[in-house]
Amino acid sequence: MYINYARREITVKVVYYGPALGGKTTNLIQIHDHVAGSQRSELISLKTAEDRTLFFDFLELQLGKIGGLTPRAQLYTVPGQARYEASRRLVLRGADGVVFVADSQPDRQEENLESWLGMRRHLSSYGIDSQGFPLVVQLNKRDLPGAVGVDVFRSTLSLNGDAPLFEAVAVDGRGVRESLRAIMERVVVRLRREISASAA
Amino acid sequence: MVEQGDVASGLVLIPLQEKALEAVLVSLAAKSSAALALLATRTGHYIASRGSRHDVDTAALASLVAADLAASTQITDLVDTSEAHTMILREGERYTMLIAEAGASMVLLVVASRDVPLGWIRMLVQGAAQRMAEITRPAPGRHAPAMASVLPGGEFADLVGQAIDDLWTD
Repeated sequence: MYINYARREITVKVVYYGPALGGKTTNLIQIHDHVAGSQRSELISLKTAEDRTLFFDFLELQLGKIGGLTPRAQLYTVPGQARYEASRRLVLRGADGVVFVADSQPDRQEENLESWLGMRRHLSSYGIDSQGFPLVVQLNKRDLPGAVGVDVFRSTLSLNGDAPLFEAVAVDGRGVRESLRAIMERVVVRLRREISASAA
Repeated sequence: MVEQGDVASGLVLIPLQEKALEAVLVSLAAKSSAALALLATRTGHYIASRGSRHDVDTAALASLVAADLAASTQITDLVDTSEAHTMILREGERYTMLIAEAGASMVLLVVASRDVPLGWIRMLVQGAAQRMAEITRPAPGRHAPAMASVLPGGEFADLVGQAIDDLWTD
């Protein structure tokens, strides 16, 4: 996060993490399309010739004035393909919160788990304990036939019952706003806790 | 490591530091005749910019500059030539572009015309980056004001959530 006292600005970084083709970029496209141009940046995409994310996608949201402050949210995606492990770790640097975008298709559960464990490993490498770290899980592609049950998915990732999980069809915009709202609320709660702790 | 003045891994600038950083940036832009001199955090948050170019998306640029430095640093680590004080140079037909670390928390971008001697720009960037690092270095007695007192209370998270809903158009 970045705090500028003189301008009363707070900027936080949220990363959309998850397996390849899970819908991370689609989330950012939907957010871009549903927010007026005056309140967001352009969507930046560093992608391959095959239209796959190479490094990251980026979008900044300006939330207006809240309580005399000007909060901003910078949203990033990571590249999902296995070969981009190092890039994923770089994008996670300085993240204040993560939306983990998982794929509901039964044959993608192993990739969900691998990505989940990779994310926890990378957070840990930055000294972040994923327990207590702002994290929201989005179970995407709920419209596909044979989508795994939520309980099965929770069991696969060993998610406890309290972990916030949103069912989504990102390509239609379903669950996108809810996931964004949930992660931002959690990021802000943690921010306040940390600021209070550092002031003590 | 969590630096003094940081909340977790972030950068916290007090007004005095912001003024000092801007002064360095103004001086750098003037001396290098920079089309753009931009300062961002190492995690991609825009801090400030100066120069004759006013048509750039600074938020997007800050994220790309930080990513460029991060990728370059990672490349040097992988080929086992890890060195401090990384500087990246790009020479285009019309512009020279330098990206440099400015301490542990910031990254500096300077875009200048090819007419400006490279050695001169490099020297200016190195000096500016060093001064910026000193400005944000933890110092005894330098404390951030009590942000807790200006952050709205428990309802702030709800207000932010509401702001997300308000941004959304169908």
